[in-house]
Amino acid sequence: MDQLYIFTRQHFVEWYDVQIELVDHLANGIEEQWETQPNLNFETALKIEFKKFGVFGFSELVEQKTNALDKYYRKEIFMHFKAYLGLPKLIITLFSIWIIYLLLISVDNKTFVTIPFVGSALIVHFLFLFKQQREMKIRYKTTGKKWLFEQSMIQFGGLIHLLNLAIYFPIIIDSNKQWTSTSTLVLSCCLVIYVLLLYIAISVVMPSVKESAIKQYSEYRLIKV
Amino acid sequence: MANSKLYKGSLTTIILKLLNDNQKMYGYEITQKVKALTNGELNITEGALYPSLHKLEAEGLLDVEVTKVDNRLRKYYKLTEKGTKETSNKLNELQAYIKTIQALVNSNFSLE
Repeated sequence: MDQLYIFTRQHFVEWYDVQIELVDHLANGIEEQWETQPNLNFETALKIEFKKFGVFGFSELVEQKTNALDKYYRKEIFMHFKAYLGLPKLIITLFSIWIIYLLLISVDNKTFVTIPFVGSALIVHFLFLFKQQREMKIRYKTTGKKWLFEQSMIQFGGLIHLLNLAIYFPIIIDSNKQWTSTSTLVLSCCLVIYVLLLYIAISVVMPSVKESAIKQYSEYRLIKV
Repeated sequence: MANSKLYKGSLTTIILKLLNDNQKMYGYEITQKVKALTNGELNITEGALYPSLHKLEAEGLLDVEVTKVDNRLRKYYKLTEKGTKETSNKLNELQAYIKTIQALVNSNFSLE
């Protein structure tokens, strides 16, 4: 078994949640070959089984698994986000938009609002990333295992790239420009959506994903940082 | 089967149907079951099977259970409630498609 785990790592599968399935598949295939050819050596049998995964080996499988996980997290985040567009949570959304709007119209220079707002959200975001990376590092050091679902989870299923665009909010806002009510409203909507997505990804989706991972994999444990 | 492209569109339906009939299965078992049921006519490749399983899992149609068997971990897939409903939809779709294709194949084409 250990040899098979090493083999998957040598073929660029560093994620334990993917290795489990591949190792079992390879082991089953090798055992079946041994039933008809008991003298076949392990290396040859393994080579035959690996060939069945095609010319790209495991890499395509890992790529598609990552895409599937990313899609799952995005869907989860948007599903929870949709709740904020319907009653009763819609009240919180509209109230937040209204508060931000009032703040924005109360100042001449919009960056006085956007910089502290986006800045604090980014600090929360970076603290979260730092904590998760540290947790993953400690887990790898103590157990020798890396988890693909975790990697995809901390990137919010690829949504992280969209959220990172918030960094440009204060830059694209020209302080000298005259803002119409509509554009101010659009800006306050964007700020609220940004914070909501961040909150849902970190505080709602991530804990539920970790909880189901603990149920699925007995070897996955939470680590306190 | 000479042309594996023919079954690729139906792969998810095949997986769902097998899981519907067998409660829970693991990847290797699925490939062997298909081979046995079709007398070796249909061979599901590993490169096609696992991405389909992972996609179905991400869509919430399959649930996963990891159990220790023969000194190694095994990942079993089983249908969720949503997956069971989807299985019957997909089977109806496939049956309707087979009927259409049969009608096309059995019709007498004439160039006149």
